[in-house]
Amino acid sequence: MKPVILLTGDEGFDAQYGGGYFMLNMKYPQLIREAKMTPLMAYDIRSAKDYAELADGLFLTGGYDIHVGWYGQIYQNMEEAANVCITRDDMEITLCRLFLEKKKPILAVGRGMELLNVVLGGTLCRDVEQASYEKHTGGAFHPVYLKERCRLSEILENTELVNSWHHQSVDRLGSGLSAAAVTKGGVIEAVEHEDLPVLGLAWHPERMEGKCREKSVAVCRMVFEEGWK
Amino acid sequence: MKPLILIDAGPAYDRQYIEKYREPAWFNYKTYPTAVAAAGGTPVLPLDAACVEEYADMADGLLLSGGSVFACRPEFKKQCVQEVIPKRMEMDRKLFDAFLVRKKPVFGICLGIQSVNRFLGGTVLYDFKLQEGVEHMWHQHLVETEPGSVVNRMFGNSFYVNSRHNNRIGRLAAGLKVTARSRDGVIEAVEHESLPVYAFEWHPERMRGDIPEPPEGPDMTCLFQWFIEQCNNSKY
Repeated sequence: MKPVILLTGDEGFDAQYGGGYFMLNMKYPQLIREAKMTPLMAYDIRSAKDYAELADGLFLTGGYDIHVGWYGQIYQNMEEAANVCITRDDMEITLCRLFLEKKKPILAVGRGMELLNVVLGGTLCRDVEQASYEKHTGGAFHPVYLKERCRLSEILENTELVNSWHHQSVDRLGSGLSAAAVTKGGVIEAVEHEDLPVLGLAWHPERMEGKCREKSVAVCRMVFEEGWK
Repeated sequence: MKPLILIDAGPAYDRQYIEKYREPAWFNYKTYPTAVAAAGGTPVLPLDAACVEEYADMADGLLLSGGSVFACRPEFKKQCVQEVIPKRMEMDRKLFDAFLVRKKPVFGICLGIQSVNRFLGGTVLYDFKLQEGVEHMWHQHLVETEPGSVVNRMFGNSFYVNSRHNNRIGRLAAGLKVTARSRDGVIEAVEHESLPVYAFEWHPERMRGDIPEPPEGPDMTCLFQWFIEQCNNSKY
């Protein structure tokens, strides 16, 4: 039986047809398909424990910002919270905790990495471009520098080019996490857990093409199938 | 472990979703998983047509949900809809077949009743209101039920339902029997003669709790509980 991977979706509200909805870009399950695994999407927070039981791994997908209250900050102006989705925060934080408890693999991408870091007690930088003077939005590629003996270095080059679609970043690292990749200016682009097969990426492996695509699939397989040896 | 219920997703077909992503996406309203979870099931969304056999092995029931697949609006046809709809139909048909082979329960809602009928060999009338002058989009109405059917047993001979569809069942597929009709002749619910297949043209997932749609309709939480029970029984 192939590993079953649980993906989280984006949430929104549709006034015309009435009600909240889930949505997931098809690029995410496409990556899981190429890694020869079975993708499923989580649908309801009440089923979180069942999801953690039945799935072999968790894929925290990209999206908007996490509510700052989760890492001990406040909004000076509630307009800053315009893109926050508290039900998505609840669902993903619950799932992340459960999969960590069960020591099951987690791949966390974009918003997912930020959430993983926060769940483990870390904090976020709320405007990475202002803080680093680097461009991180709009999909531009930039190199990342890998830390010695990190898991990612088994697959990626030391100056691997990655895409960039985020305006926040990891600030203080959560417990058990270490920075595996950083930019020239020191922005953390990947985190690895010291004991568990838990990996966070600021870039989007599901959007990689060509040679980088194979590496993205390999990263998926390393986290979900091979684990940390 | 609670019964695992697959709820198929629709495409992100509408303007606001396309503007948000501009890329193909799976989409579904929370009303379906909320109804399933509230009735004691574990709802999951299948994401890959290549994994249909795995899905059918692990899940206990299938809910084919609503959507605008057969009659997506022309103004959106050039956008991501084109890529998503064939993917949904491909997966839905495969899922339906895989569940039928395993004799696991299937529940169809709105587009789901039309899909069930089509997959079993029946036909679907598109935009029937243009031919028949009957409006079933956002227009609640009464249905009359057949004695002995699940909906008759639960909700009686006649009751109000919501209505959110432009297409309807045309020729009924062999093996299906009609269990409810509207007074203007639309087939509103079906059951299979020998297989655990039940489908509805209205949206029972929106007829629940304190704010049922429509307010004069019955609370259909029990319909989902009954379905989850069927799924649980089929495990053994």
